[in-house]
Amino acid sequence: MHEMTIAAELLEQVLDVARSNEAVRVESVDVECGEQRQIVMEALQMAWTAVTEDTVAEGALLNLSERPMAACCRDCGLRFRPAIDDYRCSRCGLADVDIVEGHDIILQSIVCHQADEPTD
Amino acid sequence: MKVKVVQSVLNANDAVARDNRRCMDEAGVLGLNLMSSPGSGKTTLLEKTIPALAADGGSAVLVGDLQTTRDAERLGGVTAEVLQINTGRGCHLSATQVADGLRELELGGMAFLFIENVGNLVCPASFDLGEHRKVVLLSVTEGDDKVAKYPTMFQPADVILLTKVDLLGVVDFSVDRVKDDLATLNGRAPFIELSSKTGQGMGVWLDWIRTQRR
Repeated sequence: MHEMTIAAELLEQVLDVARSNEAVRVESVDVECGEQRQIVMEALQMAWTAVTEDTVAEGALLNLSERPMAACCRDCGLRFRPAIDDYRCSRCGLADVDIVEGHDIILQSIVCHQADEPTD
Repeated sequence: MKVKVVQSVLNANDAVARDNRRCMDEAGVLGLNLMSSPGSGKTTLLEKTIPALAADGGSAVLVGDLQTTRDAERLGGVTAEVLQINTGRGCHLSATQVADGLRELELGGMAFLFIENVGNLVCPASFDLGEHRKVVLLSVTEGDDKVAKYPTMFQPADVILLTKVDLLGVVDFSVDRVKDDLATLNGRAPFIELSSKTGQGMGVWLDWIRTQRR
């Protein structure tokens, strides 16, 4: 259940952004999950609900999207999209790659409200 | 208002991991992160590995478990520099836990830091601890389908150890099946068949560690 760790790290960043924008409520959070991280979306949603309790992000909608992996073959340099269970290069056949995309979890944006801003 | 951020959620962990790596580099220590299922033989392997490396330099150990100090007590028999990290409900070690551990260990004169991660074939793969190399163990008693079932653990491994090979005659386990699965995931990492009990393959493993330090 490493989704709990990820939810806690995400909340820290969301609260930082909310504080620097003097927000009193966070409405939604957009996050892009790299395919290689194998995040269980339902587990992350559940963890998000738990960690945001009693914060300005309580009730904030967590919008999750998945970013596909991209790999670069260390042997021939071909950039390709591997499957989660098959990293063989489609040109040279070797499974010796650097993952160049889809290994990170990115907080893309948040929607938040300041005290004097209408919330609807 | 919409605020664009575009920032890695694991920024904080990764920044601490970079500091850990720098700390080990400055101490001249090779950091190895051992990951596997519970019961694959990580602690037993370290009990045999650390004395065998004594001529190459000292070894320190950080060992993660949800509860108990049993592994640290066992490893205290082979090194004075061992620290148990209890993660409570945490299913993996984090870079911050390793940083806290590094502050307590005396790395002066050490050549190796073994980080024995919490036994788990899923979560530890997602967190950089600052190690130089990822060591993944698979024991023959776990079954020969684990590489295919847990690709995210085996794909980034720098070396893969098949442990408890002395039991190959008494369990149904196909080494070829594991090799075939690894060929689709990770053709880079050496695959070492070993037994901490009989010593089979230990020389290859020790030589691999020495090579990484150079």
